[in-house]
Amino acid sequence: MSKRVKIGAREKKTLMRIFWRSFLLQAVWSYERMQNIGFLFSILPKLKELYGNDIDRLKESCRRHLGYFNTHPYMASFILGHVARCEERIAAGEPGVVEEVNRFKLQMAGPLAATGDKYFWSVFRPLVGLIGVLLFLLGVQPYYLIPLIFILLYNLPTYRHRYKMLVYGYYKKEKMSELMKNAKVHVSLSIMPFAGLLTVLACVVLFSLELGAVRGPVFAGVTVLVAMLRKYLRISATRLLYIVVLISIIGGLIF
Amino acid sequence: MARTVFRIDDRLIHGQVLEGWIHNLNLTRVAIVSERVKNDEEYRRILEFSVPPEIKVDIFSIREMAEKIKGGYTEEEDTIVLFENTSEVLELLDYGVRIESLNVGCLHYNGSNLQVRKSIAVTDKDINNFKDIDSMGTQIECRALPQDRKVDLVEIINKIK
Amino acid sequence: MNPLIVSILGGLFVSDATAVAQIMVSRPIFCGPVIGLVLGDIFTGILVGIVMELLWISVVPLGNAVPPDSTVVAVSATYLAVQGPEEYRYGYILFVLLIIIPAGILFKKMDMIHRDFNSFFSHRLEDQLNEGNIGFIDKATYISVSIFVLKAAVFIFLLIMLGENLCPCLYGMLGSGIKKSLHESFFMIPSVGLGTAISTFIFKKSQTKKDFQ
Repeated sequence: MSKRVKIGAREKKTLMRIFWRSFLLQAVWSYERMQNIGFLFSILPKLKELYGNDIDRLKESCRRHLGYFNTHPYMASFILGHVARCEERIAAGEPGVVEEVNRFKLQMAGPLAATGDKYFWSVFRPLVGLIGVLLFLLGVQPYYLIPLIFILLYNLPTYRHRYKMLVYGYYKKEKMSELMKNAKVHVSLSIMPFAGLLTVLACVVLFSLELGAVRGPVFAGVTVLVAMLRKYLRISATRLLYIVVLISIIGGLIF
Repeated sequence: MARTVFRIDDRLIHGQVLEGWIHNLNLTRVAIVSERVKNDEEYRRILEFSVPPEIKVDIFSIREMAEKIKGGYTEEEDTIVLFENTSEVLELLDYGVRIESLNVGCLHYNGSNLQVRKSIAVTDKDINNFKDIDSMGTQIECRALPQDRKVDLVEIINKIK
Repeated sequence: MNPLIVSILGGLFVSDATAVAQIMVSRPIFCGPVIGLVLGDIFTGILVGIVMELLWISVVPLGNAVPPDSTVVAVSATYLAVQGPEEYRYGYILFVLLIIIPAGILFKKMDMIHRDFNSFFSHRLEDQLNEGNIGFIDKATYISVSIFVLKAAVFIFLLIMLGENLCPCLYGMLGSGIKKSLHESFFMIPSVGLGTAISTFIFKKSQTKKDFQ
């Protein structure tokens, strides 16, 4: 923290504005250029700070950010932070930075999106969702606590992450690869699925106990069967739902 | 018999590749064929870190990839081979490697190329490259995810010309 | 008044998934109970929310692939399920879900058309920037957000209006045997979601060892 570059109140204010505007990153998502307008919308406070009333330079810098851009919405703030810093260098007339910015945006977006998708969409969010389900099965009352806990448990870490990434990107004391290594992304990616599996198992056990001696084991059996069908035959969850319901109704009619 | 997917994707590793292909098809290894990535230490490390720990990432130059494939690389385990552009695929084929089927995932619109599918835009050079690749017996299909319908790219290209 | 409030809330929740913020108010486990709370029956909301959350647990919004919309389904299904008959209550909830899920797929298709249309803004913005109209960046963003919210709200409104009349009518046609087994089946549905969850948390490992410095 001590090595931080001194920055003024104005820059800090701009950074906060970029942060809030980055929540609308995907507002104009299109197949053709994806988050391009969202990115421009988010970085605009910086451009306005730098070029103010010089409409020609402002126009020119806006146009540079109109190209294709797509990454994970939580990871974008890192790129935004770094680009904001680069824009300062561009405004100061440093040569070659424009190309650096364009390359950086294209190059970082993919790997960051992959990390974000994996970390947030396919591990962290299911985990928090399952914790919500588990709370319900454990009989947490009153019921409104469940959505409340879900939303807080999910958002406190992600909100902090979004802000941190912006600040990291802006100061960029260390390389991204170092940052990822220090953040122990890989360690959490090995632990969280394990925690997820434990939560699922707890849910299955609680559900089965709730359902009693006959339906309980059937429930557990169907769960394992579905897991295998999903993993090896990749049948979609929606289709499986209809199949299970159909079989279950027929079963119910017979017995 | 190990499975191998060959894919052109100018974003290299991103969510679609990782979740859509690797996770869905239970692949365990990514091979990136690119001279540019090979020579960029920092980018290489970021790519390695962007993939979960159970998946291996190999980064090769075209020549290395060709030698590896001839040495039985694709027989070892289920792999997705990623290319950044069409020229690199053609170059790999020129080394005598045979590819049965090539998936085209993303080639992005950059202002001057021609958009032919939702996430595929081609230049004249790409069109010629695709024709050459096709003439070498490689089937070219485009789809974003394995569960999508395969679309014959050569047919589309022939229509626009 | 209720259908309007539910549609507007629903529209806001749905747009969270793609257009705005991504704070996950779009997840069924949140929006189900909240809609239930608004309608005075949080228990039904939480049942729908949990079942939907489990079913959609592994659906990831991948790059340019749009997954079926769980929020539209959760919001509409909660609204319809709350009005259900007392007899075989869970059977009615499941029945409503089975009818509404295809609508989630329809909404997904609409969303794809919308996202195609959105490139219009990129082209328009290019022209506007050339004329020096910087304000158009903000304008385009806010207009687009409004379209996202409105689109979802209108869709949900039409869906629940249609469902309100259709679902009880169709359900009334079922024999009591089927109603009873639907009622029983409701408790089997979470197994599909839990099974899906298991499959997402298990990965195949590379045999070749990875070396990290």
